[in-house]
This record gives sequence, C-alpha cells and structure tokens, in this order.
Amino acid sequence: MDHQDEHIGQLLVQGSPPSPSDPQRLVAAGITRGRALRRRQRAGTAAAALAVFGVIGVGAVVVPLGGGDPAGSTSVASDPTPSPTPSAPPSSTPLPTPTSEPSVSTPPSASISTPPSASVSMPPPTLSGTITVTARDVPATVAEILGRDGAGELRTAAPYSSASGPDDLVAHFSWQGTLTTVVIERAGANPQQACRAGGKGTTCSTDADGDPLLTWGPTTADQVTAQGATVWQNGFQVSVLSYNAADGKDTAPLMDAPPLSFDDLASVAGSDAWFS
Amino acid sequence: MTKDQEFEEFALARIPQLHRSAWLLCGDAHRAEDLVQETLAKVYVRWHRKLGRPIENPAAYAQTCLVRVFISAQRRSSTHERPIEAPVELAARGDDTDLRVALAGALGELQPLDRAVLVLRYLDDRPVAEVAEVLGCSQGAVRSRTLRALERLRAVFGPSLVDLLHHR
Repeated sequence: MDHQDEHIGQLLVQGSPPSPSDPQRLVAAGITRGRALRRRQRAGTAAAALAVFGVIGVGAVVVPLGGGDPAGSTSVASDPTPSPTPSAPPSSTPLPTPTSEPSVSTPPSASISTPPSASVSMPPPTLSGTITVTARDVPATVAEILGRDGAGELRTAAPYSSASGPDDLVAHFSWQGTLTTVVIERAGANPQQACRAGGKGTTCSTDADGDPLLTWGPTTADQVTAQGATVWQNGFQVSVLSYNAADGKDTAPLMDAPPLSFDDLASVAGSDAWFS
Repeated sequence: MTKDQEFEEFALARIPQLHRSAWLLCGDAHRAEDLVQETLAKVYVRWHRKLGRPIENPAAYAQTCLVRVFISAQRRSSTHERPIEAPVELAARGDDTDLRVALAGALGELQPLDRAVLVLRYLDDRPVAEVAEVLGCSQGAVRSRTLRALERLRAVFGPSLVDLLHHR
C-alpha cells in the first residue's frame, strides 16, 4: 500500500462509527441464524429423499409417505427399541460394542450435557429431534455425503427392517447392489475409552474433526467380506458397515471388496448431516 | 474447546473489523448490523461443515463473505441510492461526527461495487487481483471503480486527503 493509500485507509477507519458496545449480542444473533440455516439445509436434503423411497420397514413406523415432518423426530410404533438388530458381520469380527454382534441397544438414560459456560448464552441441547434424518433419508444422505451416486432402496423385509427414533436409527439399504448399514445410537460417557476397547482387529484413531474413529475389517466369513467404521460425535456413535454382497452371509459376492472404502465409511460416520 | 466456542471467540474478535466494513458498505447502522449477523451466520455454517477442507484464513473468509452478501443483497434490492445534491462540506475539522457524516455522504454517492472496492482495497489491503476475484469482475474494472471512488472522496473532502487528516 503506498502513501496515498494509507491515508485513504486511515480516512475510512477514522470516519467509521465506533465498534458496537454489545458485540456479544451481534455474535449470538449470528450464531442463531447460522443454526437455523444449517437446519434448513438438512431439511432440504430430507425432503428430496422423500421423493425416492416408498415402503417403510416392518415393525417400525416412520413418517408415512405424503405426510408428517420428513426431517423431524419419529417414533418406533411397537417397540421403544428399534428392531430388528442389524445383520451381524462375521462373528470373528470385533465390533465397537462389547457384544459380539452389532446391536441397537436401548440407549442408556441420556444426560443432557450443557456446554461449558460461554460469554454468550446459548440454548441448551435437547434430547428429542437431535437425529434429524429418518431411516428413509439415509440412502440419499449417504450419497450426498460421498458426492456420488450408488444409493439404492431402503431394505424393508426382515431381518433388515429399518427404523428410526429421536435417539437411534437403523437403516439397511443397497449401495451399488450390496448391503450397507447405518446405525446411530446414544454414546456412553467415555467415547475414547469405548473406541480403544474396540477389540482385536479394530483400529482406534481420530477423524478429521478429532472425533474418535474406530475401523475394522475387511473380514471375510460365510463368503461375504465386510468392513466398517464408527465415529463418536455429538453424544452419539455412528456406525457404517459395507458388504460386498447383497446380504450379510451365505450369498455370492457381487464384487471383490465392499464398495465403501475406509475413507468413505469415516466420512459417512463422521458427517454432521445426521444431527441438528 | 468446542467448535461453537471456537467460533464465538473468533467472531467476537472480528466484530470491530466486520462492523466497520459493513457500515462503510451500507452507510446505515441498522443495515450494517444485519449484514454482520448474516455474514456470521454463513461463516458459522462453513465453520461447522465436516466435509471439505477447513477454512484456511477465517478472517479473510469472513470479510469476503461480508462483501459478497452485501453485493448479493444489493442486486436483489429494488432500492435506489440516495443522491446528494451538493457536496458535503466539513463543518469543523477535528470532529469525528462531521467526518463520519461527510464520509457517509460521499460513499452514498458511489455504486455498491465501488464501495466494495474501497473496503477491500483500502481497509482490507487486498491487491487488485484478489479484489477482482472476490467481486467476480476484471482487474481493469477494479481499477476503474477505484478511480471513480477516489474522485468522489476528493470532491467531498478536497483534493488532499493528507491535509484533511493532518488538520484533525
């Protein structure tokens, strides 16, 4: 900047009004608008997904076609615990939870943790509606996260019924014809510990945002190869499993390896698209 | 520190610069505050996005966002610039209020893009090429707008801005 330029800059600074006396108010208002903007963006994704899918999973009631709030919280009709459990990968594969099979467990009574006190008062997090997608949003959401086509239909027939509620979600769907599963459930009190306790054959690290990331596989059993990832974020654990066949076992593989790479799995599990 | 806390800390630190830029663009305190809030909202969304790379230079990103939000709003708006019938003369040198009024009047004579060029070049100290990229115009257009804006300032404040500032 030359000499003349400096004077112009000086003029602009001296001629401007003083800084706002209450900057916290401005920042708080900006953050409120930002949160609303994020919610609207996700609602747009869910609404688009509604146009794609039809029948909803057996044993669960999600938002019926043509009605309801596509991106809001839903309830499981007959059982507070979403069922059925996802198809287990080969039993030799260690999984993020202490049990040998992946299961959507009844979430422990969740405590709402209020963020540390900040100089700007923020609304506390709420339990209901925190998962902002429903099971039938999942295939389109995964496609959007990955930025490529491949999503097929949501599975509806047992044992792959899909379901969702405010605190948990299970969705089985096809990706390039193969079985893919997304499970979201409330995390325990110590995600780091849970990640490190993943067991033999798992790798605990962190994703790009510093959230605990557990990966496992590829593991082959009953003719099928599977791999998966779990990320602990926002008080939840998000697990994504990819298989190289249309079913979890005893079926001919459709490709040599699961179509979702570890980077893909980590991206999907670590995305904030699932939450408000 | 959570992402929200990080963002809040960043936003509070940037408020003075953002508010100043917003006022120079809008010429109105209320619209300036609205512009700052809108900018912070957009930066907040980007801040929390998990896909893609993190923001490399958040301060520059916020300034760029502010200018672009302003320009977009101007293009959508049907309001017209308020003309100043006669050049505003400084009543008493050394009085910031008078300077502010005169500056607001001078800037009010300029087109929105001219004001944006002034803010980006002389407040943010960005090179011509970068200003052109932010505004989506050619470097020649940036230089033309700069000349036009400076001519307007000199018409209001006198030929020597140096004198103006030295007499305060």
